Amino acid sequence: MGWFTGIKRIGLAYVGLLYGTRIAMACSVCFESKGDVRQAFVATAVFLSITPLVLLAGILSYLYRRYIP
Amino acid sequence: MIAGCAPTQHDELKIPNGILAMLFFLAVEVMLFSGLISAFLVIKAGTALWPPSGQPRLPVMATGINTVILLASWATLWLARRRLFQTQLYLTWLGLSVVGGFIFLSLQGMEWIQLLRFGLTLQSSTYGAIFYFLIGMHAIHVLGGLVGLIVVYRKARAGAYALHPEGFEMAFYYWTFVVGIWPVLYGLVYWN
Repeated sequence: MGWFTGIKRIGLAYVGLLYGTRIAMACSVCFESKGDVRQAFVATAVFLSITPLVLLAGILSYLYRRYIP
Repeated sequence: MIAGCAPTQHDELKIPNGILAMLFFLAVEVMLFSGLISAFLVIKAGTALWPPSGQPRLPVMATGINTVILLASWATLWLARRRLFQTQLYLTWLGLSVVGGFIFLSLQGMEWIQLLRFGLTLQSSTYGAIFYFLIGMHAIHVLGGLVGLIVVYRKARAGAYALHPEGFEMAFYYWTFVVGIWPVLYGLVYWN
C-alpha cells in the first residue's frame, strides 16, 4: 500500500464524491416549476430585498423628525 | 455633557440609547417575520388545496374577536402614553393593556389545545408545521411583550418614568410592533 498515499487518496475521494453527488432539491422552485410557486418565490424575493431598505429609511426618517429640531 | 459645562445644542440632540436599540431590534424582528411570511406564501402556493384535506379549519371568528382584544390593548397603551405626564390615569390604561395581552395569550393557548385535539400538529402536515411555527413565533413575542409591560407597570407605579420615560417608550414601540404584525398574520393564515 506504499503507493496509495497523500495526493492519491485525496484524488480518489474526490472522484468518489463526483460520482456520488445527487441533485439536492433544497429550493422549492428547483423541483416545483408551477407558475404559482415561481410567482410567489419572485414576489417574496422582491419583498425581502426591499424591506430592509424601507426599514432603514423609515427609522432614519423617524429619528430625524423626532429628535432633530 | 461634561460636569461643569453648559449644555450645548449637541447635547440636546442626543437620541436615547434604548430607543435607538429598540428601533433597530424591531427592524430585525420585521425581517424575521418577513422571512417566515415569505416561507408561508411559497409553501401555500405549492399546495393544490389549502388548507389540505383532512386538516381542521382554523377558528376565524374566535381569533377575530381575539384580534380586537389585542388591538384594544394597544389602544389603551397609546392612551397611557398620552397621559404619561398628566395624570395618574395612565396606570389604569397601562394595567388594561396588560390584561388585554394576557387575555389574547390565554385565548390563543385555548385555541391551540382545541386544534391539537382535532389533529393539527407539527407533524400532521406542512400546514400544521408552518401554522404553529409562524403563529407560535408571534405568541412568544406577545409573551415577551407582556412580561415587559408588567415590568413597566411596576416601575410606573413607583414613579420611575416621571423624568425618564425611555423605558415606557421602548415598551410602547415593542407592543406596537407585536400588535401591528398580528392583523397581517391573521389575514394571511386564518383567512384563506
